Amino acid sequence: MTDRHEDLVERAGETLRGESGPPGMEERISRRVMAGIRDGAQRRRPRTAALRLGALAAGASAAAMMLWWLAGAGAGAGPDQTEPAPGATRHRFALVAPRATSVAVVGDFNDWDPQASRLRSGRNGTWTLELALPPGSHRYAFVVDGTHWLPDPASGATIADDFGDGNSIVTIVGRS
Amino acid sequence: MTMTDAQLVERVLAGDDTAFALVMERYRTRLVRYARQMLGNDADAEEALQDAFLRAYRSLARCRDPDRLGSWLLAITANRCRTASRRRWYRDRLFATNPPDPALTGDHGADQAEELAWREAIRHALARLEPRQREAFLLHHVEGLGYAEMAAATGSGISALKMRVQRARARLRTLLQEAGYD
Repeated sequence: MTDRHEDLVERAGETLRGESGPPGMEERISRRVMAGIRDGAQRRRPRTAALRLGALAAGASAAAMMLWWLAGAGAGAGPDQTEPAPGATRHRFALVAPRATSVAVVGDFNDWDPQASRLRSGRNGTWTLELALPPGSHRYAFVVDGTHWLPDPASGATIADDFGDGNSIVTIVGRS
Repeated sequence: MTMTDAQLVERVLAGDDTAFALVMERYRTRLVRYARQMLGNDADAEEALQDAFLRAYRSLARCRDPDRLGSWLLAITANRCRTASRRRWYRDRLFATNPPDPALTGDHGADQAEELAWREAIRHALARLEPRQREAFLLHHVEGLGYAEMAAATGSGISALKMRVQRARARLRTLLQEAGYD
């Protein structure tokens, strides 16, 4: 079931990769840009002054590399397969969802990957999983039946993400 | 002999504008695809891409790694698309003014009709994603950028981008299922 649904998104991606613009659009863009370059109003030699985008891109790239390093460059490596980070503390995630067929937890700690950390079904429809989390605040959410994202109803700390949906926050205090 | 990106950049910077036409020819198919899918409107995509190419031309000396010219151009295009999608006038008619695909209105065989309906379902599903989710999905799953490249192109953090991609996948899956696909 899950694999077939995953395949649906992959098929959509494949279809999109095969798309192109309507006939004549690409050539029209090139003609207009070249006209703009030739036009005196547009004609400037490529400048040597600082390009804001270039600077932003370089800054973001450096920040991204730092984040990547801080995260241990572990894309796709779920916490279950990695050594606990120094100072990591086990945290128990739990969700009561009697009708769910699957529950996963996604967050900063597992690259928001719904496949990485699946909860196990227990009594009274309670799903649980313990993960070793490093000190700090971590955003997370539950994914029910592979599709529905929801914040942790038992958590008092929730923050809206980019889209107004809620993520919960768990804070792990480092051991001294 | 085909010139490398770095050689083309060098020629443009030396004053050969025709080399920039070759740059556009090399990358416009990919950039047109991205802008159309991101904005959902051919006219706006065309305008955004013209603007992106002109900005790229004027700023070419700031391209720090000419061998990665394609990623640099995609970053500029993504930036222009983001600006376009923020405008109120644009949002008001987002996806509403694009006429139905002419191919959908003709008489087609069953297989072709099915293919066209599938494309239309994807188009509608993409339109219903939040712009930043759509941007992350397209950059990652369609244009094949890694998360570090996406972070450089968008200025967003890697974790946030991963979250957007996963949310976009879940939302797309739901929308396509609602449209009758599984």
